[in-house]
Amino acid sequence: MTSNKAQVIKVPNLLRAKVGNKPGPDLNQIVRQAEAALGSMQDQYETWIRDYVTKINEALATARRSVPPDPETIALIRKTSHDIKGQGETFGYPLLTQVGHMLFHFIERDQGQAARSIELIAAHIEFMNLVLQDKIHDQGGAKEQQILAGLEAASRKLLKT
Amino acid sequence: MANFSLEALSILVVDDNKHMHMVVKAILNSMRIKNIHFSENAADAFMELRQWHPDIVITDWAMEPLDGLDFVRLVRKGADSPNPYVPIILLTGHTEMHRVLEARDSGVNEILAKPISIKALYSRLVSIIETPRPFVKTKNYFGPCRRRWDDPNYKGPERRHTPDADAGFNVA
Repeated sequence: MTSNKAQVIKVPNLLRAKVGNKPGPDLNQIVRQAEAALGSMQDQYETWIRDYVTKINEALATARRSVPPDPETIALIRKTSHDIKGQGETFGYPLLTQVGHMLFHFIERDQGQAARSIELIAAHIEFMNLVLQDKIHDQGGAKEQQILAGLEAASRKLLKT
Repeated sequence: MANFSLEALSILVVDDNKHMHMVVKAILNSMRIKNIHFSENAADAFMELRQWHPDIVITDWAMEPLDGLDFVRLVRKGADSPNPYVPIILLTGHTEMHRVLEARDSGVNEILAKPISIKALYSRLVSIIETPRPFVKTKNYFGPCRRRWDDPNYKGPERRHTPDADAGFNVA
Protein backbone atom coordinates (compact mmCIF):
# COMPACT_ATOMS: atom_id res chain seq x y z
CA MET A 1 0.00 0.00 0.00
CA THR A 2 1.36 3.48 -0.85
CA SER A 3 1.96 5.67 2.19
CA ASN A 4 0.02 8.91 2.36
CA LYS A 5 2.70 10.44 4.54
CA ALA A 6 4.63 13.40 3.15
CA GLN A 7 8.36 13.16 2.74
CA VAL A 8 10.12 16.46 3.51
CA ILE A 9 13.42 17.00 1.71
CA LYS A 10 15.83 19.71 2.87
CA VAL A 11 17.65 20.92 -0.22
CA PRO A 12 21.09 22.46 0.45
CA ASN A 13 20.98 26.21 -0.15
CA LEU A 14 23.74 26.46 -2.75
CA LEU A 15 22.49 29.82 -4.05
CA ARG A 16 23.04 31.53 -0.71
CA ALA A 17 26.65 30.39 -0.81
CA LYS A 18 26.99 31.37 -4.45
CA VAL A 19 25.87 34.99 -4.02
CA GLY A 20 28.18 35.38 -1.00
CA ASN A 21 28.12 38.25 1.45
CA LYS A 22 29.02 41.13 -0.84
CA PRO A 23 26.07 43.54 -0.99
CA GLY A 24 24.67 44.40 -4.41
CA PRO A 25 23.16 47.66 -5.66
CA ASP A 26 20.25 48.83 -3.58
CA LEU A 27 16.75 48.33 -4.88
CA ASN A 28 16.18 51.99 -5.75
CA GLN A 29 19.30 51.96 -7.88
CA ILE A 30 18.17 48.74 -9.60
CA VAL A 31 14.77 50.27 -10.32
CA ARG A 32 16.35 53.45 -11.74
CA GLN A 33 18.68 51.46 -13.99
CA ALA A 34 15.94 49.11 -15.16
CA GLU A 35 13.59 52.02 -15.91
CA ALA A 36 16.34 53.76 -17.85
CA ALA A 37 17.05 50.57 -19.83
CA LEU A 38 13.37 50.03 -20.56
CA GLY A 39 13.01 53.71 -21.44
CA SER A 40 15.76 53.37 -24.02
CA MET A 41 13.70 50.60 -25.62
CA GLN A 42 10.64 52.85 -26.00
CA ASP A 43 11.13 53.46 -29.73
CA GLN A 44 11.50 49.75 -30.38
CA TYR A 45 8.45 49.13 -28.25
CA GLU A 46 6.34 51.54 -30.31
CA THR A 47 7.16 49.32 -33.32
CA TRP A 48 6.41 46.09 -31.43
CA ILE A 49 3.13 47.31 -30.05
CA ARG A 50 2.02 48.56 -33.46
CA ASP A 51 2.86 45.11 -34.86
CA TYR A 52 0.75 43.45 -32.15
CA VAL A 53 -2.15 45.79 -32.76
CA THR A 54 -1.89 45.28 -36.52
CA LYS A 55 -1.84 41.52 -35.91
CA ILE A 56 -4.93 41.61 -33.70
CA ASN A 57 -6.80 43.82 -36.23
CA GLU A 58 -5.92 41.36 -39.01
CA ALA A 59 -7.12 38.44 -36.88
CA LEU A 60 -10.36 40.33 -36.24
CA ALA A 61 -10.84 40.86 -39.99
CA THR A 62 -10.27 37.11 -40.53
CA ALA A 63 -12.71 36.25 -37.74
CA ARG A 64 -15.37 38.42 -39.36
CA ARG A 65 -15.06 36.61 -42.70
CA SER A 66 -16.50 33.32 -41.40
CA VAL A 67 -19.52 32.45 -39.29
CA PRO A 68 -18.81 31.07 -36.80
CA PRO A 69 -15.23 32.30 -36.69
CA ASP A 70 -12.44 29.75 -36.82
CA PRO A 71 -11.48 28.80 -33.21
CA GLU A 72 -7.82 29.20 -34.14
CA THR A 73 -8.44 32.81 -35.08
CA ILE A 74 -10.15 33.48 -31.77
CA ALA A 75 -7.22 31.78 -30.02
CA LEU A 76 -4.83 34.06 -31.91
CA ILE A 77 -6.78 37.13 -30.75
CA ARG A 78 -6.61 35.81 -27.17
CA LYS A 79 -2.85 35.18 -27.39
CA THR A 80 -2.16 38.59 -28.92
CA SER A 81 -4.26 40.35 -26.29
CA HIS A 82 -2.16 38.50 -23.68
CA ASP A 83 1.05 39.81 -25.29
CA ILE A 84 -0.35 43.35 -25.33
CA LYS A 85 -1.36 43.02 -21.70
CA GLY A 86 2.07 41.75 -20.71
CA GLN A 87 4.01 44.70 -22.06
CA GLY A 88 1.71 47.73 -22.29
CA GLU A 89 2.28 49.09 -18.81
CA THR A 90 6.02 48.37 -18.87
CA PHE A 91 6.32 50.86 -21.70
CA GLY A 92 3.94 53.49 -20.46
CA TYR A 93 0.64 52.31 -21.91
CA PRO A 94 -1.35 51.22 -18.84
CA LEU A 95 -4.63 51.38 -20.76
CA LEU A 96 -3.31 48.81 -23.25
CA THR A 97 -2.51 46.48 -20.37
CA GLN A 98 -6.00 46.98 -18.97
CA VAL A 99 -7.88 46.43 -22.20
CA GLY A 100 -5.57 43.54 -23.15
CA HIS A 101 -6.32 41.94 -19.78
CA MET A 102 -10.07 42.41 -20.24
CA LEU A 103 -10.12 40.95 -23.75
CA PHE A 104 -7.89 38.03 -22.78
CA HIS A 105 -10.12 37.09 -19.87
CA PHE A 106 -13.32 37.53 -21.83
CA ILE A 107 -12.11 35.04 -24.44
CA GLU A 108 -10.50 32.71 -21.96
CA ARG A 109 -13.56 32.40 -19.76
CA ASP A 110 -15.78 31.27 -22.62
CA GLN A 111 -14.25 30.96 -26.05
CA GLY A 112 -17.60 29.88 -27.54
CA GLN A 113 -19.34 32.96 -26.21
CA ALA A 114 -16.47 35.10 -27.42
CA ALA A 115 -16.79 33.63 -30.92
CA ARG A 116 -20.45 34.69 -30.91
CA SER A 117 -19.52 38.17 -29.69
CA ILE A 118 -17.24 39.45 -32.42
CA GLU A 119 -18.54 43.02 -32.09
CA LEU A 120 -17.54 43.12 -28.43
CA ILE A 121 -14.08 41.80 -29.34
CA ALA A 122 -13.96 44.48 -32.03
CA ALA A 123 -14.84 47.16 -29.48
CA HIS A 124 -11.86 46.13 -27.32
CA ILE A 125 -9.57 46.27 -30.35
CA GLU A 126 -10.98 49.65 -31.41
CA PHE A 127 -10.05 50.94 -27.97
CA MET A 128 -6.50 49.63 -28.44
CA ASN A 129 -6.36 51.49 -31.76
CA LEU A 130 -7.54 54.68 -30.04
CA VAL A 131 -4.96 54.45 -27.24
CA LEU A 132 -2.14 53.95 -29.73
CA GLN A 133 -3.36 56.57 -32.18
CA ASP A 134 -3.69 59.19 -29.45
CA LYS A 135 -0.54 57.94 -27.65
CA ILE A 136 -2.33 57.88 -24.31
CA HIS A 137 0.43 57.20 -21.80
CA ASP A 138 -1.64 57.51 -18.65
CA GLN A 139 -5.06 56.38 -17.45
CA GLY A 140 -6.74 58.66 -20.00
CA GLY A 141 -9.62 60.94 -19.22
CA ALA A 142 -13.30 60.45 -18.46
CA LYS A 143 -14.00 59.24 -22.01
CA GLU A 144 -11.42 56.45 -21.87
CA GLN A 145 -12.52 55.33 -18.41
CA GLN A 146 -16.12 55.30 -19.58
CA ILE A 147 -15.22 53.09 -22.54
CA LEU A 148 -13.34 50.66 -20.29
CA ALA A 149 -16.28 50.51 -17.88
CA GLY A 150 -18.63 49.87 -20.79
CA LEU A 151 -16.46 47.03 -22.13
CA GLU A 152 -16.27 45.51 -18.67
CA ALA A 153 -20.03 45.71 -18.17
CA ALA A 154 -20.74 44.19 -21.60
CA SER A 155 -18.32 41.31 -20.95
CA ARG A 156 -19.85 40.62 -17.54
CA LYS A 157 -23.33 40.60 -18.99
CA LEU A 158 -22.42 38.12 -21.71
CA LEU A 159 -20.48 35.90 -19.33
CA LYS A 160 -23.21 36.26 -16.69
CA THR A 161 -20.65 36.99 -13.98
CA MET B 1 14.58 42.52 2.41
CA ALA B 2 18.23 41.46 2.20
CA ASN B 3 20.55 43.09 -0.30
CA PHE B 4 22.47 40.46 -2.24
CA SER B 5 24.90 40.78 -5.09
CA LEU B 6 23.13 38.68 -7.70
CA GLU B 7 25.74 38.87 -10.45
CA ALA B 8 26.94 35.27 -9.95
CA LEU B 9 23.52 33.86 -10.76
CA SER B 10 22.68 32.10 -14.01
CA ILE B 11 19.08 32.33 -15.16
CA LEU B 12 17.10 30.56 -17.87
CA VAL B 13 14.18 32.59 -19.24
CA VAL B 14 11.47 30.62 -21.04
CA ASP B 15 8.95 32.65 -23.03
CA ASP B 16 7.63 32.29 -26.56
CA ASN B 17 7.61 36.07 -26.95
CA LYS B 18 11.01 37.42 -28.00
CA HIS B 19 10.09 40.92 -26.88
CA MET B 20 9.55 39.62 -23.36
CA HIS B 21 13.08 38.18 -23.52
CA MET B 22 14.36 41.72 -24.06
CA VAL B 23 12.25 43.14 -21.24
CA VAL B 24 13.34 40.47 -18.75
CA LYS B 25 16.97 40.78 -19.88
CA ALA B 26 16.92 44.56 -19.32
CA ILE B 27 15.55 44.09 -15.80
CA LEU B 28 17.97 41.28 -14.88
CA ASN B 29 20.91 43.25 -16.29
CA SER B 30 19.98 46.13 -13.98
CA MET B 31 20.48 43.63 -11.12
CA ARG B 32 23.91 42.89 -12.69
CA ILE B 33 22.82 39.43 -13.76
CA LYS B 34 24.43 38.83 -17.15
CA ASN B 35 24.51 35.05 -17.36
CA ILE B 36 21.13 34.57 -18.99
CA HIS B 37 19.92 32.06 -21.58
CA PHE B 38 16.60 32.18 -23.39
CA SER B 39 14.29 29.47 -24.70
CA GLU B 40 11.13 29.94 -26.70
CA ASN B 41 9.45 26.67 -25.75
CA ALA B 42 9.41 23.99 -23.09
CA ALA B 43 11.31 21.40 -25.15
CA ASP B 44 14.24 23.74 -25.77
CA ALA B 45 14.15 24.84 -22.15
CA PHE B 46 14.36 21.24 -20.98
CA MET B 47 17.41 20.79 -23.21
CA GLU B 48 18.98 23.96 -21.77
CA LEU B 49 18.37 22.69 -18.28
CA ARG B 50 20.16 19.48 -19.14
CA GLN B 51 23.15 21.10 -20.85
CA TRP B 52 23.61 24.39 -19.03
CA HIS B 53 22.37 23.89 -15.44
CA PRO B 54 20.99 27.37 -14.64
CA ASP B 55 20.57 28.39 -11.01
CA ILE B 56 17.02 29.67 -11.49
CA VAL B 57 14.35 29.34 -14.18
CA ILE B 58 11.86 32.07 -15.04
CA THR B 59 9.09 30.72 -17.25
CA ASP B 60 5.97 32.12 -18.85
CA TRP B 61 2.73 30.17 -18.42
CA ALA B 62 1.01 30.82 -21.78
CA MET B 63 3.08 28.89 -24.33
CA GLU B 64 2.39 26.22 -26.92
CA PRO B 65 2.42 23.28 -27.49
CA LEU B 66 3.48 22.67 -23.87
CA ASP B 67 2.59 25.47 -21.51
CA GLY B 68 4.63 26.71 -18.56
CA LEU B 69 2.92 24.42 -16.06
CA ASP B 70 3.55 21.38 -18.29
CA PHE B 71 7.19 22.42 -18.29
CA VAL B 72 7.26 22.78 -14.49
CA ARG B 73 5.72 19.32 -14.08
CA LEU B 74 8.31 17.86 -16.46
CA VAL B 75 11.10 19.43 -14.45
CA ARG B 76 9.70 18.38 -11.08
CA LYS B 77 8.39 14.91 -11.88
CA GLY B 78 9.96 13.82 -15.18
CA ALA B 79 11.99 10.63 -14.83
CA ASP B 80 14.72 12.21 -16.96
CA SER B 81 14.63 15.64 -15.29
CA PRO B 82 18.17 17.05 -14.97
CA ASN B 83 17.31 19.05 -11.83
CA PRO B 84 13.93 18.50 -10.13
CA TYR B 85 14.89 21.00 -7.41
CA VAL B 86 15.75 23.99 -9.57
CA PRO B 87 13.92 27.12 -8.31
CA ILE B 88 11.22 28.20 -10.76
CA ILE B 89 9.48 31.57 -11.00
CA LEU B 90 6.29 31.52 -13.06
CA LEU B 91 5.37 34.63 -15.06
CA THR B 92 1.68 34.86 -15.67
CA GLY B 93 -1.18 37.05 -16.74
CA HIS B 94 -3.51 34.77 -14.75
CA THR B 95 -4.11 36.22 -11.33
CA GLU B 96 -7.38 34.60 -10.29
CA MET B 97 -7.08 32.51 -7.12
CA HIS B 98 -7.90 29.17 -8.79
CA ARG B 99 -5.15 29.82 -11.34
CA VAL B 100 -2.68 30.76 -8.61
CA LEU B 101 -3.48 27.53 -6.77
CA GLU B 102 -3.12 25.55 -10.00
CA ALA B 103 0.32 27.09 -10.52
CA ARG B 104 1.32 26.48 -6.92
CA ASP B 105 0.27 22.84 -7.14
CA SER B 106 2.40 22.32 -10.25
CA GLY B 107 5.49 22.91 -8.11
CA VAL B 108 6.59 26.49 -8.82
CA ASN B 109 8.54 28.35 -6.15
CA GLU B 110 7.24 31.81 -6.91
CA ILE B 111 4.59 33.46 -9.07
CA LEU B 112 5.01 36.85 -10.73
CA ALA B 113 2.18 38.70 -12.43
CA LYS B 114 2.56 40.40 -15.80
CA PRO B 115 3.33 43.15 -16.53
CA ILE B 116 6.54 42.54 -14.64
CA SER B 117 7.30 44.76 -11.67
CA ILE B 118 11.04 45.31 -11.19
CA LYS B 119 10.70 45.31 -7.41
CA ALA B 120 8.54 42.19 -7.43
CA LEU B 121 11.02 40.24 -9.56
CA TYR B 122 13.87 41.28 -7.27
CA SER B 123 11.91 40.23 -4.18
CA ARG B 124 11.15 36.81 -5.72
CA LEU B 125 14.84 36.24 -6.44
CA VAL B 126 15.82 37.31 -2.92
CA SER B 127 13.13 35.10 -1.42
CA ILE B 128 14.48 32.07 -3.30
CA ILE B 129 18.00 32.79 -2.00
CA GLU B 130 17.17 33.93 1.50
CA THR B 131 14.29 31.71 2.54
CA PRO B 132 14.22 28.59 0.40
CA ARG B 133 11.48 26.18 1.37
CA PRO B 134 12.09 22.46 1.75
CA PHE B 135 10.71 20.18 -0.91
CA VAL B 136 7.77 17.96 -0.16
CA LYS B 137 6.94 14.68 -1.83
CA THR B 138 3.51 13.14 -1.46
CA LYS B 139 1.49 10.78 -3.60
CA ASN B 140 0.09 13.75 -5.53
CA TYR B 141 2.70 16.47 -5.24
CA PHE B 142 6.39 17.10 -5.59
CA GLY B 143 7.78 20.59 -5.21
CA PRO B 144 8.57 23.34 -2.73
CA CYS B 145 6.56 23.18 0.48
CA ARG B 146 3.32 25.00 -0.21
CA ARG B 147 3.18 26.44 3.28
CA ARG B 148 4.69 29.88 3.54
CA TRP B 149 4.85 29.91 7.29
CA ASP B 150 4.63 27.55 10.24
CA ASP B 151 2.21 28.26 13.01
CA PRO B 152 3.99 27.16 16.20
CA ASN B 153 0.65 26.98 17.99
CA TYR B 154 -1.01 24.75 15.39
CA LYS B 155 -2.31 21.62 17.07
CA GLY B 156 -4.59 20.27 14.38
CA PRO B 157 -4.19 17.21 12.15
CA GLU B 158 -1.33 16.77 9.68
CA ARG B 159 -2.37 18.57 6.49
CA ARG B 160 0.52 17.91 4.16
CA HIS B 161 -1.07 14.88 2.58
CA THR B 162 -4.19 16.78 1.66
CA PRO B 163 -4.19 18.47 -1.75
CA ASP B 164 -5.07 21.92 -0.48
CA ALA B 165 -2.52 22.50 2.24
CA ASP B 166 -2.38 26.27 2.69
CA ALA B 167 -2.12 29.14 0.27
CA GLY B 168 -0.12 32.24 1.04
CA PHE B 169 1.16 32.86 -2.48
CA ASN B 170 1.84 36.44 -3.34
CA VAL B 171 1.18 37.26 -6.99
CA ALA B 172 1.92 40.97 -7.21
